[in-house]
Amino acid sequence: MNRRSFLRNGGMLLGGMLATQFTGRAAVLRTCRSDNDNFSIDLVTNRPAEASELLHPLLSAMAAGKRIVYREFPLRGEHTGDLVFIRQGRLIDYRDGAAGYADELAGIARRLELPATLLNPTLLRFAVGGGASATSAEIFQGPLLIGRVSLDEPRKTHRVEGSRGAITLSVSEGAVRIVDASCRHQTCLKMGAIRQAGESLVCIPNRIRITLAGSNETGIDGITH
Amino acid sequence: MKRGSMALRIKLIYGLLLLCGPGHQIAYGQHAYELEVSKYLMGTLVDVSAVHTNVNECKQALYLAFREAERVEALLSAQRDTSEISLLNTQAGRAPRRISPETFAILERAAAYARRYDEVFTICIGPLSELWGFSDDEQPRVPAKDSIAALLPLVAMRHLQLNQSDTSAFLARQGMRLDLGGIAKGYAIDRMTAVLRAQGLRDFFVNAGGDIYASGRKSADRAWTVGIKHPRRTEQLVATLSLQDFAIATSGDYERAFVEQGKRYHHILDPSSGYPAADSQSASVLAASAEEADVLATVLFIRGVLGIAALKYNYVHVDADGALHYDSLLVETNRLRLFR
Repeated sequence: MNRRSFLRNGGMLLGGMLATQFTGRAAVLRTCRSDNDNFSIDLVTNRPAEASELLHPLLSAMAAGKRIVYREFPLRGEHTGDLVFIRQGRLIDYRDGAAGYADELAGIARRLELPATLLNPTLLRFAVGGGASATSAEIFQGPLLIGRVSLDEPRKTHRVEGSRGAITLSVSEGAVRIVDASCRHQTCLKMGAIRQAGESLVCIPNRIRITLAGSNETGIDGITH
Repeated sequence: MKRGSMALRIKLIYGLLLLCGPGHQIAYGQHAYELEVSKYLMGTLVDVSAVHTNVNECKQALYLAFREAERVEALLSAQRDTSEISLLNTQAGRAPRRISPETFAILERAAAYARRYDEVFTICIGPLSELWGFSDDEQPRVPAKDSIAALLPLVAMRHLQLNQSDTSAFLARQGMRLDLGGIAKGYAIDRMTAVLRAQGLRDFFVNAGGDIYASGRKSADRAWTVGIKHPRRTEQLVATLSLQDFAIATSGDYERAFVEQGKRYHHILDPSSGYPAADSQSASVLAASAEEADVLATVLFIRGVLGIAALKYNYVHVDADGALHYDSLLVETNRLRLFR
């Protein structure tokens, strides 16, 4: 239940293939720009409303007027609840008293009784600034975050089980595309590849959505079709 | 003396109000959160982004908006056996049925749209879309000429009888089927918008499978921006534009298209012929409500620009030859940018 195990669990699901976002952190984060003040707080808890309230004063102070992007993902199964603070691309251990905001973050973790093993908790993510480009693809079945794939790895395919069948993703040179789907329409295959943070691929029959994590750099909020 | 200070205070408050502007109480940059929630509804992915100063208030508003969309879907979906529309369909040719005032009002508005656009838009399209296989998950196919001809008389709004006195509706011919696919998504977006506003949200962006309503702005220096999908190179955009307190919807011939014996067929059927409309590749219409945009996109798609030019709606149209038509005013009012 130490930080490492949370990070491993944070890399979550679909077996080992998804352990990359956190365990492969060093490689991933070096690609982030560090010239602007960006940070993110990931929190796995079963008290999301209280967590948001507790974090608000701290977030307000740290964001210094910048927009805070908030996302919330339900997780299935047993997860280690904890708090991860990443600033300027570096993981900050709040248990290290010398780290910035360590006291505040430790206080919040205490109030939320973290770390702890939690069943079906919620992952909350607050991000300011964001990375310059997408570093990972997040895979959802309905509202559930069921997996995460790093875009850094060499060419690879991943099979994802949906509600009616399976789809196969291919990851190559920072782009993700669906290369096989069990459904008849095959609409998701025609959607092509996604590269930019914020872009999505959707398989409606299987209720699967693949979204590239990171801030949306395209400047487009939605597509009409 | 006292009176003087009172007047000054009122003026100050008034001045502040003016500074804030009518729709924009959010002081941008003051720790505003941006939230995004997605859910599968109405056979598509519904995405809502919202900007607000309080995470939990914003979450509650989004939750209520999605619940409203679920309610609308349960009322209007022809794919659900228990919806009021399905119950009307099962009673076709038999007896009138009382429906809720809300569903009745939607049917009345749909009838008004049909009258205004010579039934180019019609909710009586059900038998035809079913025959082609566009209303379920089955593989669509080209029906026999005779079976299309046999169904055309059922695609007629005059056989939908609406009785205001007891809010009842009757499909007068056996085999008639209502399909609200061309209006329900737009209506659901408008209902979600109403709920979000009632909850105090001003800046949000609702995208239900490509039908969009943008309220307020994304931030002080950025308007909500919409991309229009390229009808042939579907990885690309044909244009982008900004939207504020306005809706846009697109009908395209590239969704649910199939090829049979070398010929391409798509799901937007011309109710007068029973075959896919042939004059457009993509039709996007801007309107004050998502419902209007939804309906008008179908009308523009089937009729082409000539059929809609006099209607005072803004549009971006890609005709059957791939040529782009648009109102040049959009370049100024909505920062329209084109990609070729």
